[in-house]
Parts: sequence; C-alpha cells; structure tokens
Amino acid sequence: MSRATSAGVIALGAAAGLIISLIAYTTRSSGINGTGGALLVIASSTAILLAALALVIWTSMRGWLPGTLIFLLILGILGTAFAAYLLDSAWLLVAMAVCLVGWFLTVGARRAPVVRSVRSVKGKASS
Amino acid sequence: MNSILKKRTVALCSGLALATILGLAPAGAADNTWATFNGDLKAQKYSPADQITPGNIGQLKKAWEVHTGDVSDGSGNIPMSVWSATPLFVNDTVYVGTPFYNIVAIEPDTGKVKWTYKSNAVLKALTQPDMKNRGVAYWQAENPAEGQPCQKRIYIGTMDAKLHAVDADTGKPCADFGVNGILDINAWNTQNAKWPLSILQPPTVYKDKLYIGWAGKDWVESIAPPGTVFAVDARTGKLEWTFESIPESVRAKTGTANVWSSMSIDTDRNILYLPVSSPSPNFYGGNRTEPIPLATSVTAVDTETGKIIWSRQLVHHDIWDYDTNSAPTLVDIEKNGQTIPALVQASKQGFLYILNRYTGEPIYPIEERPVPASDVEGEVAAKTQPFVDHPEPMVHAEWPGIFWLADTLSFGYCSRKLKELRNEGRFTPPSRQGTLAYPATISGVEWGGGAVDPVSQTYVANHSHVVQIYQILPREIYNEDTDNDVRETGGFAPMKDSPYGFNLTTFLNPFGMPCWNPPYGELSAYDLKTGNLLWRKPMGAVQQWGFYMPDAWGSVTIGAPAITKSGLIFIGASMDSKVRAFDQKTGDVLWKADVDAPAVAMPAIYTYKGKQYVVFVAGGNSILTPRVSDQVVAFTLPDAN
Repeated sequence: MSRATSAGVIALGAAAGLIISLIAYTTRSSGINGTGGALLVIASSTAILLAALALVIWTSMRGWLPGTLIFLLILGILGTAFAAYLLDSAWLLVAMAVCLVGWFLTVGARRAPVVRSVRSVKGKASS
Repeated sequence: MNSILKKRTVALCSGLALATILGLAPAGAADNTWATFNGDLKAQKYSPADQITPGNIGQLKKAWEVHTGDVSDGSGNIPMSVWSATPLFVNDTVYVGTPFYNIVAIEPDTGKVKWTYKSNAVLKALTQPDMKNRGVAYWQAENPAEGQPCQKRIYIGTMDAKLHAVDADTGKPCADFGVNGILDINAWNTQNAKWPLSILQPPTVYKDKLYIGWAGKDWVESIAPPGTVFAVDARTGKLEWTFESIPESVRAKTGTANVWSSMSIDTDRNILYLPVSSPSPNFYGGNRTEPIPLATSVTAVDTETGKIIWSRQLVHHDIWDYDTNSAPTLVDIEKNGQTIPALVQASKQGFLYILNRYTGEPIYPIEERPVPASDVEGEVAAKTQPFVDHPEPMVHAEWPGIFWLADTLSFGYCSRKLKELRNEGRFTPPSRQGTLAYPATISGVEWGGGAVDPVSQTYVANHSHVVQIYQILPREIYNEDTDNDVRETGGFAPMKDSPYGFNLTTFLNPFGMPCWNPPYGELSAYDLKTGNLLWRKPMGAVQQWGFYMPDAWGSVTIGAPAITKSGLIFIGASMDSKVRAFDQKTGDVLWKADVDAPAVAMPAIYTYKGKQYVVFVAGGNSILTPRVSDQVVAFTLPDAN
C-alpha cells in the first residue's frame, strides 16, 4: 500500500472523528455538548485530518517533514483517543482506532519498495 | 389443589385485583401508577413492574421526550432553574410540574402534550437562589360526582407561596379551591414573616387532606417564620389543623425547623411522618439555647388532628444545618421471627435511623455520646449527640483524608489549610478558626431519601461525601469581609440578628479540585432484616470540561433511586448528565444513557397498555453543575419485548 493510500485511511478516520465530535458538541443529550473537551477533540481531529491530507496530497514530500508529521500524527491520534476515552465517546474511539491502523500502514509504507521506486524515478528525472 | 381451595384462591385473587383497580389497596405503588412524589405514601419508591429486567435492560430505548420550555441558565432576567420534579403517572397521564410553576400533562406512551397549565407565578428568587420545583400532587374524590369538574385534581405550589389546584383532565383551575383555584399559603405567615412560605415541594395527599410544608431562605435570618405544617381540605383549601415545631415561648427569637421535603403516611393507622429541619440561624445557636425538641427530628402526628404521637430528635441543638431532609421510608421488617412495623430515616449526617414507626423506638441501637464543646462565645453546644453504629453509617466517622493529587497540584495547599482547621470528628461545632465539617450540610443523603424493596427488605440510597469549612465570623469582621453584606460573596451568610455571620466554603484547592479523597458519592444497599451493608459502590462520575473522571471517584449526588420488582435500581442524581440502572443484587451498572442535564429528580416507573416505562426529568441543579435543561424523557423496551 502506498503512503498516500495509508495516509488516506488516517484522513478517513480523522474525518469521521471530526463529524462525531461536531455532532457530540452540538447534540443536547450527548453528555459533552458545548464542553471544552468536545472542542478539544474537534480541534485535534481537524489537525489529524489536515496532517493526513498533507501526506496524501504531497506524496513527494521529503526530508524531515514527513517524519515529523508522522510523529505528530501518532501523538494526535493517541491524545485524541485518550480524550475520547475520558469523554466517554465510544465512536470517536473507534474513529481513532481507524486512524491508528492507517498510521501503522503509513509507517510501513515509508519503507515499501513502491515508495522507493517512485522516489528513484523522481530522482532520476530531476538529475 | 382441591376445587374448593382453588375457587377460594381465585376469589381472593379477584378480590385483590378489584381492590387494586379501585384504588382501595393502601399498600405500595399500584402496579401501573406512580401517584405521589415518592411513588406511594410509604415513600418506598418501589414499583412492582417487572417487564424490564437485568436480562433485557440492555435493549432499553428512548420512547419519547418532551421539552417544556421552562428553563433558565440565569443569564437573563429569570434566575437559574433547578428542576427536581418527580413525574407522576396517574389517571392515565404523566403530570410534571416545571421550575416556572406550570403543569404539563403528557400522554404516557407517546409523549404528546395533552394540556399545559400556566400559573403565571412570580419568577423571582424570593427565598431560594434559583427557580426550584419538585413536582405536583394528585387527589381524586372517593365518590366522584358525575359530570362535575375537579373530581380529580393536580396541585402545584409556587415560590411566592401560592398553591394552585387544577382539573386533572382539562388543566382548568378548580374555582372552589382557595380563591378561583389559588390558595394563598402566605395568609398564614403571621409571625416573623421575613419572606414568603415557598411551596417548592408538592403537598402530601391523603384522603381529603393536603399536608403542606414550605421552604424558606436559609442562613440569612436568625428570626424567621416558625416551621408550621398546614393541613387543608383538598377541595376547598380550608385550614383544618396546624403543627408547630417550635415552642411558643421561643418563636420570637428563632424560626424555621420547617418541613421542606416530602412526608410519608402509614395508612393503616393514619400517621403522618414529618422530617423536621433545623432551626434558625443554622450555624449559631446562642440565640436559641432553650430546648426545641422537635427541631431536626422525625415526628409522627395524627393525620386527622395533627396531634403528636411520638417524636425523635436526631440532632440536639443543631448548629450544622443537618435538616432532617427526606420522607422516612415505611416498611415492615422481618427480624428474629417477628414482623416489625419500621421506618427508615436517612440523614445528611449519614446515619440510618431505623425505628418502630408506631412507637419511635430504635430497632437498631441509637446511642448518646459526648461530642466536642463550642469555643464560640455565647454558643452552648449540646453535650451529647445520638450515634448509630449499625447499620454501618453512609458517612464514616473519620473524614476521608487529604487527596494527594489535589495536594500535590496545589503545592501542599490542602495540607497547609487542614492544619489551620478545628477537627475533632463528628459534631465538631463551627468555630472562629474554621471547622472541618464532615459530614457537611450537603453530605449524606439528600431530600430524595432512599428506596426499599419491601419483598427482599433491601434498602438502597445514594449518598455524598463532601467536606466543607464552617467558619463563624464576629459581626464586625463579617461586615468588613462583605462590605456590610452588600457585596455578593459566595459562602457568606449574614445570620442577621445574631452576633455572628458565617462563611461556608467547600474544601477545595485553588484550582477547584476537592482536597479530600474520593469517592465523592456512592450507592449503598442494606439488608434491613440484619442491618448489614450488602454492597457499596461509587456512583456516577465527576465531569470537568466534558471529561469524565475515574468511576472510582463517584459523584456528589442529588436525587434518589427507584426500585423495581425485577431487581433493578433506576437513578439519575449524579453531576454527569447520565441516568443509570444498577443491579440490586450486586450494585453493578447494567445500563446508562445520556440526558440533557443532571437528572436530579427521582424517576417514575409505570406500566401503560402493557408496556413498562421509566421517566426521568433532566433539569439540573446549580449545586452540581451550571448545566440546565427542560427535558422529560421516557425509556421503554422495543415492541418485540
């Protein structure tokens, strides 16, 4: 699986997390509507979504940036999952589980031959 | 079974069924109704309904919800709403009183509103800081006159001391009650009338009488209206008799010792049980050193005359605001081969007083023990207080101790503060330096009291562990601290006409975290046959910024449980906006659901057209969180069940 596809899995989970968080923030009987905690997971889900989309869109991203994004992603995913646990939001926890699966795939994909061949082709073209 | 025996059994069963249908059975809640604030007159909060069981409760779903529109977060002209109304189910209708003192009649299976009665009550904080209501009461004529209105009535009280009576079928005022359907209770407020006698608790209804207590403005005045209970005619509102809790000779310099919560009734012997609160001022008794034996008591009176049958004082010379605050639960206990007519009185101080309800004598021992003396000039604290060791108190003798997390996060603030406080255990009087009050005025069991399964004789109650600081302030210091009582300062109470003001604070660190060890609230079950504690579990959850703290911390609770025959305990009460069902045998949580705000009212349980419903009012209470709502929500099983 390419990094773009696996990052897409993260983006999918994050988008689901964002929708779930928005619903929880605005629904009266969610138990957490209008709370700072719900706002926090809206913000963190958005950040995860943006970071994952960056990996999807800019596949040629090189150097320290993709590694940093991937590191920040795991912090964001685990942090949001912990917040989801404390917010008693099972669906957000599921969404973060999807993100986690995507994150492991992304980490694996970085070293995958397909990625290397793409890099090498691009390297040749630019030289 | 031989045929004659079979016929007699069938006849007996038929007779009992008929008696129940006609409303003649005086026992517990009838199978399909929840006709009073506590479910029934015994305050058992027990439903014989058994459709919802521990096995199928996982399937429980929302059946309907209603938003009454009567809610305020306090940001506008109307004070914050505090809604603790038990819904009633009777006359094939769910009736709910709102914190704006209106009545909503709801279809029990669909949630469709049948009618609404607008009381046009004054929406001002005349006695309480918030708009409070604990529901409505129901009466019906024993021999209804056909075609005549108001043969069935719903009553609602208001903060400005008016009692409204409306037709239960139409919501139209009953013109023969009071003046055009409104009885002015304040007309009887003739001594120390500093504020109106707020009718926040629905009257207790028995036969053709309404028994009416009232709520006042605690902590502000020393000289206040004395705690009169009024018995009035259910049809006309005519005053039939009064009960006075304070001796006439003392009334000019004190007040209250009122009955502000619900009452219970033994219908076999026509006995009304009154939970009598503490006298004023609440935290200093130097102005009222004479005995006031009915204050902070449970008192039994004759329903027809108001004459006292017996009384037991639970706190002598109360200077802790340990109001007896809930209706005693009446239940027969099988003990040592005998059936004992018992009464279980829960309390803020965490003791369970289990008494013979006909004599007032303890079934489990109550012992007078020496307690610390007061060091406040002018105060004469009682030398002894009643203690109960068995059943195990809901609030332990030792305070919970410093919570390391709160202490560490505040760089040792909690430990340093503790060293400044007077702490000699239970009944340490309020002091100049500040007394560590545990249990405090919002500890133990609140106004909802407990529930009982009369079959297994299991008593269940939710209770809170709150540590507060009681500080007496000489008048000049109090005036300095409060700019002569002009500045709105949380915790300060003037106790006017006494030499002292008062400062009540909860023992928190500067970040608002409790300085004492959790749990902050628990649910306990007792076997009344032995007095043994069956189980005790943390209940509910503390919620901050939406985050739920660990289950082991529990939550401070306001409200009460209801029990079903099938072994379930339904309760809201906690500061998180969840309602839960517990297994009566184990105390395990079997089901929970989110509601709009803390459900600080007792649930009502009923069966209608073959389906069992559990209804919660989720209104919130500013003591727990600022979260408020106007939601009435019913749960039931899917149709396949």
